[in-house]
Amino acid sequence: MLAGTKIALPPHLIHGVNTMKCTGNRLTRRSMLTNGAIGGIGLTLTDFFRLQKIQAATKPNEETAKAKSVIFIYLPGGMAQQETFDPKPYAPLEYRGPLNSIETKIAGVRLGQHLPKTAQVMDKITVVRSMTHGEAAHERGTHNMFTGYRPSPALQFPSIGSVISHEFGPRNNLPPYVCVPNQPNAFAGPGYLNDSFAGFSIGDDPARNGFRVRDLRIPDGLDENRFAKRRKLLDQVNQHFRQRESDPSLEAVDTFYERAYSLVSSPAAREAFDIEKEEPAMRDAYGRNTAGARMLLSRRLVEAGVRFVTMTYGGWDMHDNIHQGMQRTLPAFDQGYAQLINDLDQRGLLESTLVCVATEFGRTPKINGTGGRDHWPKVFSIAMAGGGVKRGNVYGKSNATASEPEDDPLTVEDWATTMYHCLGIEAGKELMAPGNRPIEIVNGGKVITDLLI
Amino acid sequence: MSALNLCMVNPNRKRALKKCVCLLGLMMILLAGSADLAVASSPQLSIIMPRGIQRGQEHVLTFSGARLQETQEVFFYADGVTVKKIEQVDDKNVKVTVIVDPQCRLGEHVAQLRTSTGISDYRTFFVGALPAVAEAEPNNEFEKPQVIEHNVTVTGTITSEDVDHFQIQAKAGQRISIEVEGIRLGNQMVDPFLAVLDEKRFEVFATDDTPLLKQDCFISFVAETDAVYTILLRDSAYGGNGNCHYRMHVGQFPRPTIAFPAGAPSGAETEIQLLGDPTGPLTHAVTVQDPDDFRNGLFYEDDQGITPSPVKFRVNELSNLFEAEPNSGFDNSTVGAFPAALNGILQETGDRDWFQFTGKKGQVINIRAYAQQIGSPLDIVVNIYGPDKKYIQGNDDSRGADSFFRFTVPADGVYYLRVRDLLERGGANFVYRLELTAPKPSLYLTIPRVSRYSQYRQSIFIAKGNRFGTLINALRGNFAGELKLLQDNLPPGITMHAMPMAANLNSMPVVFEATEDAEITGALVKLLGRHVDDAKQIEGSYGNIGYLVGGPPNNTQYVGCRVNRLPMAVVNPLPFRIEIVQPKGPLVREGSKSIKVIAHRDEGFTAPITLQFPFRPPGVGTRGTIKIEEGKTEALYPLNANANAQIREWPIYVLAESNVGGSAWASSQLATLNVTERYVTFEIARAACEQGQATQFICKVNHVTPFEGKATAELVGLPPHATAPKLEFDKTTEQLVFDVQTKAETPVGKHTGVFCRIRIPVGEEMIVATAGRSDLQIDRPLPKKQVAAKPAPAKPATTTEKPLSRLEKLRQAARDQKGSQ
Repeated sequence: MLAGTKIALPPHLIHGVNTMKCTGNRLTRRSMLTNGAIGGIGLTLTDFFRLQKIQAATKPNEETAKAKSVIFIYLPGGMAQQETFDPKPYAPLEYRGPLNSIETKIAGVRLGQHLPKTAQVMDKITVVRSMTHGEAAHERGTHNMFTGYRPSPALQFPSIGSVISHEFGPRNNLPPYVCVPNQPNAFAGPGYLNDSFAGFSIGDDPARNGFRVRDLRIPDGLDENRFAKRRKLLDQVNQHFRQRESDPSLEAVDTFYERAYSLVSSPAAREAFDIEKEEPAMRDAYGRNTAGARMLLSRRLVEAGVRFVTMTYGGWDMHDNIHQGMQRTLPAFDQGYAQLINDLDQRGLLESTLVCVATEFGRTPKINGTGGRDHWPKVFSIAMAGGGVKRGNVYGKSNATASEPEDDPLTVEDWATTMYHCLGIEAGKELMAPGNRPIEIVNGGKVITDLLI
Repeated sequence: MSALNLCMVNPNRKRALKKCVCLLGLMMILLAGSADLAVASSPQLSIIMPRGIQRGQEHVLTFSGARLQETQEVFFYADGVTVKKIEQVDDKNVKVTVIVDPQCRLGEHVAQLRTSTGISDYRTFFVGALPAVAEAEPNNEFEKPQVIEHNVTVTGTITSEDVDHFQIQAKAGQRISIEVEGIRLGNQMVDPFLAVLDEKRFEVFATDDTPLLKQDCFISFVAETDAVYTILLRDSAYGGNGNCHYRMHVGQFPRPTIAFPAGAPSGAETEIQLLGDPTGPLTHAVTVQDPDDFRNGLFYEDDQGITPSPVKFRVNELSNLFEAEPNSGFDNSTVGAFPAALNGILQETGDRDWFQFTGKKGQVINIRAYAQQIGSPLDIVVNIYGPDKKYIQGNDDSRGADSFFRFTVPADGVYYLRVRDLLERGGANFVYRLELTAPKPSLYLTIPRVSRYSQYRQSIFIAKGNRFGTLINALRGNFAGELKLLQDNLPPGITMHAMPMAANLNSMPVVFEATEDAEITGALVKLLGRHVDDAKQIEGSYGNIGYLVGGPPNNTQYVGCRVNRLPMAVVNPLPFRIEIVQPKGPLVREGSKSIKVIAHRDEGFTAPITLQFPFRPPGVGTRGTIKIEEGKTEALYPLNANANAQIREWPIYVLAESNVGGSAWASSQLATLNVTERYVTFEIARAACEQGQATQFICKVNHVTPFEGKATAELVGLPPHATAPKLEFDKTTEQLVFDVQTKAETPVGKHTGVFCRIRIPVGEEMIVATAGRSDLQIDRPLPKKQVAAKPAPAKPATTTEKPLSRLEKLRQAARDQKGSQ
């Protein structure tokens, strides 16, 4: 059992299995048991399904939801709005920054010079230029953007992915919430919800050659026959305990294993995670780099049925030399993101897939002494597309120096509420926190209809 | 018999610091004279090994780093170390043979290398009194310690999870002192933990951090019986790596922790008690001849040795006054004075010391406490009470954990000061010193850091026939006014160009220029700032704290090395020079302007040159960097001025960097930028129309500065699919009317940020500025009403050609609507 797992298999069961350890190949009893670890906390698939069964939540009606899936592209560190989605070509030089801006497909809307491909899909996305909150520390801003709540010392809030997991559950035998490559931070977890709603971490970078999803594969040196043999062996062990113990949880274990096995052994599920199945041309179109590979895998996952994919890319905390930082980081994002939007659109998936680009905060209006920008949560930009969000839209406006919102400030609560609305989730619904405390999914947000079709 | 060692007094200290110059071999000299030499720059010094040496001996120090070829000189910032020989090992290592004076000051010494292409970072090495013994691994087990003798300095390294054990024999009554130089060595974040174990492995003494040495530590005790002790040394968190060096002094030397009083005035003899030594208080008389001798503190030496590091000691003009117990309240408060230094010890838990002094109305008194700054464990809190015995003011932690506040005496009378520990602790070494002084002008010059967590560009090295520029920052205390910059020992061939620093600024550009035939040499330059009015006699000098070790949170500087001179050198020529083409026209408020920068490249040198504009006059902004592209010889540096830019002639310079096998820097000359008032201002009325309609921006022209010829004005920031023609105007124009045409696709909404860009010819230059801002409201057309055709009303006679403002149009529309009903 991996460290940190809250729900462990009964120790006597593990001990019993350990005695059956097979030598001669790389599969251990333990690794077989932990096939399909869920989330950065190391939840196994079996635990995941077991806990899933325990929770009894009212499911929202999916029929009315425009967004069936979400790809949440998180740019950690705090992406500068001035160099990306909210350039200020007429601002004084020290505010304008070192980069120029370019025209987009929408007349009058300009983006940073390193977003030429995104500029060509501007007619398919909405850029929000008036996102605002008051948290200038990375971890607090990140908490806001992953949970829709300001951090509280009293409660760990669930991430949006975990709430979606909680509300909908799995689809097509796939985990509802997947993190590419790993749970990106402590706030992307299930919070006060049960650990079964944690994200499934794939555990490897899809940009890496030889990329393989952790735990969701039959281990090396083991073919499907041998895998089935191992499973049969486990069944025998379980049977042994079943005869000796009357704990109902043991009954449940069978079911969870079945679910886990079906996921591990399902070619369709495995294929969703197999980026190698993509045509080389498609991989090239996304870009054979971290951003492109992660976005391509995200598309494959939502296409297969995953409800919420969180992926991160790059380091955007550009306190020094933002010119070089953007030159280094933006082009791969630009290529992957534009291709993702086009790809989803061409597959007819964009209308049902909400693609959200977010970051923890923006950056200071003025270039600092080391050629960078510092933290600035007062106003920053995000991008949304698909899933019921308007096409070719710019929502909100920052002022002339990108120092504060000028029109339609968008709060974290309103943004999260709108996202949930797209998914058919009523954000005012109360979930039960420990101590039987009912907590709204989002506290006080409203649906911003101007963002929606 | 014992004697105080006064920080290695050198009778010739008043002379400029003697540099230790060593010529390199013939090959290097030939190289230096060669026009084809391989240029490199920005030498980087990472470490000096060994980390410490014994005084009175000859040693070989290895300076390691990058781009250290053609090392010519070692700069030392204190006397006592003389270079005998410099041997170039390779580009990354230089061996320097030094002779250390027997009276050389103990502790940290700062050194840096001057090569023919630059000056390295500051790095430190330590001078000790004891012979060195290398740590011999394995010594990680209590049972297998390294046996050492008394009076040695063990030099070792704490690697990850390393625990070093050393065994020492002690006799009954013997003083055993152990002091570790760990983080002070300035290599790495290491937090030494020291313990003394008895033969049964029980911990007799243990220490981690100390008020005197901060993260470093010491143990000093008197052995009760003949015994074998094991000294255990590790990182407090079991961290460490190959760069975590330490020097552990082990011997019978005295180890007092604090002086009482912790300061003395110059000239007079002062009796000092040194507290904290395990043998009891040590008493000595000190006569301060030269305050510089006490800059690092006070060393104590007796027949058993000398303290490896000094206790803190302050020298100033203040007379010492001492608390007289009992002084626990208003009524028995010790009579103090102003100005004076009030000294005391909070002897026991709950102890509070009271002083009184007589103040006169209007007197301003700086009350500054020294406790942790002088190595006391006291967390001092100082409060002041008035003649009515009511609380007036106080402070706890204004200077780190020590207190400071400025008190203005409200009325003549007796005032009371109360001193206590925040947690009401006390003890024999809870020493404090309150300095009551009148505010006086102070001035301190620095070079701003251009790179976080580094010493980059903190030295001045100028290529022959070239220039280098830097900003000099001034920290003024208790005065205002313009400053001028002075120096007294520039290396030959270097001139300094600087205009006085404006009274409202804390920064000024300074450009140093080396002649074509300047000798490759260097010096530690004493840089001074002085009030432009010499009669005020306000002066201050340059100082710097070189960044050495940082740590959490946010790479806070834990260890830095202090220097008080500016290292400067003439270095090998560079293959490029840059020059600002002196702008002829001004930069007007709300205007923009490009400064032309020309690069003079040597033949064959085509590398890109990155330009910076380090000094920005108030209200003037620009880009962080621009580039002269590969093979190109000029670039335009854009500037803009805001509406409040300070009007005057400002010195400016451009700094250029290019890769010549390391970053090489050159500066332009000090040019002048004239920031002036605007020529015109516009008042632009708001405009509105429906999609596809036309409207007008009516623009009132206010002339501020007369100009000749035709100027142009154009509207910028109009929404998509909205256009307006460019207009001309001259000094007589009072109003401009922009006809704006929109289309059906022009986005609906309030389009803020429409402004006017004007171009005014002045001399040979075109002044570019913005003038006036406005909004354009675009509305969706109202649905057409199906109404019966009416005869058109008679068109009112037009009485004027004057275009209507938005308000007038609305009024007219209301009138028309009313008339039609």
